[in-house]
Amino acid sequence: MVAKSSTEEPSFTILDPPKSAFRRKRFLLPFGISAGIALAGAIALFASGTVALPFKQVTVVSAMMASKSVYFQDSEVRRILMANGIDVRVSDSGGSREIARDRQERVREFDFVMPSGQAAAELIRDRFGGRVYFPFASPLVLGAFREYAEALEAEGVAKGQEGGLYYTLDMVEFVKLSLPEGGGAAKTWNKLKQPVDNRNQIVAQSPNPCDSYSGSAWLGLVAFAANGSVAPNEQNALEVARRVKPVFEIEGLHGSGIGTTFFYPDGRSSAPVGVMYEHQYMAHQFDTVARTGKPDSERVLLYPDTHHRTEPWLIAFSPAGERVGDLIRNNADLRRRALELGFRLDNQDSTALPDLLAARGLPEPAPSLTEGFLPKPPDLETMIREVGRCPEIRVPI
Amino acid sequence: MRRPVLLLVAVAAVLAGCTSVKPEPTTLTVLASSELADLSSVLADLRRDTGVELKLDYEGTVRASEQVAAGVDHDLAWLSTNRYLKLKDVDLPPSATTMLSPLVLGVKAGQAEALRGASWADVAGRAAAGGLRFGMADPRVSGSGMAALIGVATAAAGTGAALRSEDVTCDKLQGFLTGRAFGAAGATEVVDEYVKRQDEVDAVVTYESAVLSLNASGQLREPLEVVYPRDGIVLSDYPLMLLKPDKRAAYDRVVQWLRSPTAQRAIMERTSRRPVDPQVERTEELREPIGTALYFPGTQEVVDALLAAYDRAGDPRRVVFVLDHSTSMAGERIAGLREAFATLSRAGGFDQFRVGETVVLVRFAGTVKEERSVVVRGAADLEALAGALASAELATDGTAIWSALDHAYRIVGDGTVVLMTDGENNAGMSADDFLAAWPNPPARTYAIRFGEADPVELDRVARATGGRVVDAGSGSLLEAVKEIRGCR
Repeated sequence: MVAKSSTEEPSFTILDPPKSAFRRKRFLLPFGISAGIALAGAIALFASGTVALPFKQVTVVSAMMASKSVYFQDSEVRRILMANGIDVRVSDSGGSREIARDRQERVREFDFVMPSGQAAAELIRDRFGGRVYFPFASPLVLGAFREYAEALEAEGVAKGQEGGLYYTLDMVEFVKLSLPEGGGAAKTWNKLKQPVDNRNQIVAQSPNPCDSYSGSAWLGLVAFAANGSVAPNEQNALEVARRVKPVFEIEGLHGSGIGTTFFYPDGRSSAPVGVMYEHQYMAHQFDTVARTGKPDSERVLLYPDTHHRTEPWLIAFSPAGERVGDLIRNNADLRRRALELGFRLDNQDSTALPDLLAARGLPEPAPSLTEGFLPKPPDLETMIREVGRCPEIRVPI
Repeated sequence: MRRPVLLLVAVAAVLAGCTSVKPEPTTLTVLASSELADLSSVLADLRRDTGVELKLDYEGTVRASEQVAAGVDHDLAWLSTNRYLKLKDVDLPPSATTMLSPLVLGVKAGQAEALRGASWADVAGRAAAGGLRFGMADPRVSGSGMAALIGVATAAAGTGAALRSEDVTCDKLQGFLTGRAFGAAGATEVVDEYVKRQDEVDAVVTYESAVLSLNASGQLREPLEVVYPRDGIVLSDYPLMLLKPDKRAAYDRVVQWLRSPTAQRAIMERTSRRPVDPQVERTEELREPIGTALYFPGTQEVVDALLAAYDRAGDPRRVVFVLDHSTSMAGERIAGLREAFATLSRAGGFDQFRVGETVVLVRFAGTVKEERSVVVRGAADLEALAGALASAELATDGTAIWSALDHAYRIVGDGTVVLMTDGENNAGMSADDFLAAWPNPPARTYAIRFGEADPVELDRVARATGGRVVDAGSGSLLEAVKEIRGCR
C-alpha cells in the first residue's frame, strides 16, 4: 500500500454494506411473528401426522355400507386413517341388505363393505367371500320421544330405568298393541291410558326389512315375541310371518331408518318411535353434552327385553380393505373414537362404553340379558319375503 | 441460519396451499322439483364456495319420479321427497336430506280463525259446503297436490294406519275437492295463480315455505295464515339424489356444503324451509310445531286410486235415497234417519253433502209418497236437506220395496241409489217382477237394512250392480250411511 502523498488521492469511502433486508427491524418483527406462527403450525401439523401426507403414499380405499358410514365420515376417524395413509371413500348402499342383493354385481369392486349386522353380513360373505373383521357392536333399540315412552310406561308396556333416559320394553306386550290378540285394528297413541296427541296406530317405525339390517332384525324380534318367545323355524316361519305382517303394514311405505331424522328438530313429526342402533343415540348424547353441558332429555331409548346385539362386519375384498380392517380392529385411536361415536367394543373392553358414559355424566343403560333369537337365515328370508315386497336376493341360502 | 428458516417458511406455505386447493369447477345437471326455483341465490353461493354449478331442470315431483324411474340423463335429482320413487320399486339412488317443509294450507287471515287447529275433516267439510275455495297443484304432476290427496284420504279412512287399496274403494275426496277453485301444474305455478286470483279465493294448498315466502313477497292484499292439519302432516325432506355414480366426488361436495350451517341458514332465510341441522337456530315462524306426520301409503295402487278420484272431481253427481216411511219405522228408526240427514247436511267432515251434488229423496211405504230433488248450491240448500225429513209422515199402506226401487231406477240417471228399509216387501211389485223388469240394473245400488228386513234378494240386486247390503242393525244408521258415502 503507498503512503500518503501530497496530492490527495481520491479516496473510497467504504460504506457499511446496506443492512440485509432480513435484518431490518421493520422486517424482523412481522417476519419473526409469521415465521413463529408458521413454525408452530408446522409443528402442529407434524404432530397430527398431516405434514407427512404430501410425502406419503395415500391409498384411496373404496367402501360400501349403510348406516355405519357415520363412522368413516367422522372427521376424527378420517384424520386418523389419513395419518395412516388411508382415505376411505364411502358409497351409500341404502340398506345393508341391498349390499347382499347387489343387482349390478359390483360389490367385489369395493375394497371393503360394512353391513350393519351379522345376519346380513353372512349373506354377503356367503355370496362374495372376503375376509371378515369384527370391529364393534351396538344393540338394536327403539328411539322414542319422552311422552311416548311415558305413555308406554303408564300402559305397563315399558319400565323406566335409573337415570331417566332409558326404558326396558316388554316386547310381547308392545307387539300386542300393534297386533291385538283376537284380531282387530291396532291401538292408536291417543287411546292409551295416558294418551299422546297422535291418532296414528302404535308401531315402531322401521326401515323396510327387505333392504335394511335393522328392519330385518326388528322383524325377527317381533316374530320372536309373537311366537311365544321362540324363534320361528322352518315349519312355522311362513305362518308367523303372515301373522305379524299387519304390524309392518301399519306404516305403509317404510322410511330409510330414523338414525338421523330422529335427531332433527322436527324428528317427533317424522317418527316419534322407531327402530335404531344404540350408537346413533349415544353419539347424539355425547355431542349434546359437549355442546350444552347436559343430555337431551326429550329423546329416550327403549331397550327390548329380548336383546339383539348387532355386529357390523367389515368384509375386505382387497389388501387395502384388509389394512383398514386391521387398523379399525387394533389401532387404539380408532377404537377410542369408535367409543366416542357410541359403539360398544368387544368383550375385552366390555366396560369401555359404560365408563365413557359415566365420565360424560350420562347414565348407563341396562340392556336385557335375555337374547331375542332371530330365525335361521333361510327362515328369516322366508319371513322377509312374506312381509315385505322384496326383490329376490340371489344368494344360495 | 437464514436458509433453514426460509426453507421452513416455504414448506409451510406449500403445505398451507395444499389444504385449500380449489377443486376443478364442475357443472352437474339436476332434475329438480319445480318449487326449487327459489334456490338460485343459494346455488350461486354454492358455486362460489365449491366450484360446483348445479343446472336445474324443473318438473313436478310426481312426474319427475316417474321420469327418474324410467331413466333420465341428469346427474342428480333433487325432489321434495323420494317416496314416489320408492313406490316404483326401483333401487333408490344415494340420497341425502337437505331441508324440510310440511304441506299446509295458506288461508286468508280473515278466514283462518275458523280453521286454526283444524283437521283435514274440518277442511273437507268446509270445502264441501262451499265455505272454502282454494287452489292446489295437479297431483298427477306435483308432489304438493299428491300430498294433499294422501292427507285427506288417509284422514278420511281414519284407521290411523297407512292407506291400503281397500281403504280407497269408496271415494272420500270429493268433499274436499269441491273447494278446488283452480289447479296448476306445479307448486310454483299454483302460488303464482293464487296471487292473480287472490280476491276470488280463500286459500292455497302448498308448502309452508311457499306460504311464508308469499307473505314476505308483498304481493298479497291480505296475508295468509299457515294452517297445519292436525291429524296428519306430510313432510317433504328434499333429498338430493345421485343418479350418475361417476359424479360422486362433486355430489359429496354439494351435500357437504348444503348441510353446512352457513348453507342451512341461507336456505332458511331465503326460502323459509326448515333446516335439518339442529344447531342452526330457527326463525320464529319456523319453530312452530307441525304435529304428527301421517303414515304414507305403501303401494302405487293406492296412489293410482286417489288420482282416479281426483279426475272425477267436479263431475256432477246424483244420489237417490230411497227411504222406507212405513209405520214400522216409527220411533228410534225414523229418528235415526232424520238425524243422519241432518248430520250429512250440517256437520261437515268427509261425508257431508257437497256443493254440486244432487240429492234426490224418494219416500215410500205401500207406494212412492214423495220425490224431492235438491241441487246443492250453498248453505241454504244444505239447510233444506237437513230438515227435509223432519216432518215427513209415516204411512200404513205397506212396504213396496221393489216398486220404490223401480221408481228410483227411472230417475237415477248416472247416479247411485241408496235404499234404506226395515221391512219385508208386502206391496207393489214382487222381487221376480222387479228382476224381470231390470235384468241389467242401471245404477249401482246400496241397501242399508235395519230390523227384520230380509236381505237375500236385496243382496242379490245390490251385488249385481257392484253395490252391497250394509247392516245397520249392529251400529248406528249414520255410520252405515257414512260407510257407503262416496262408493260408486
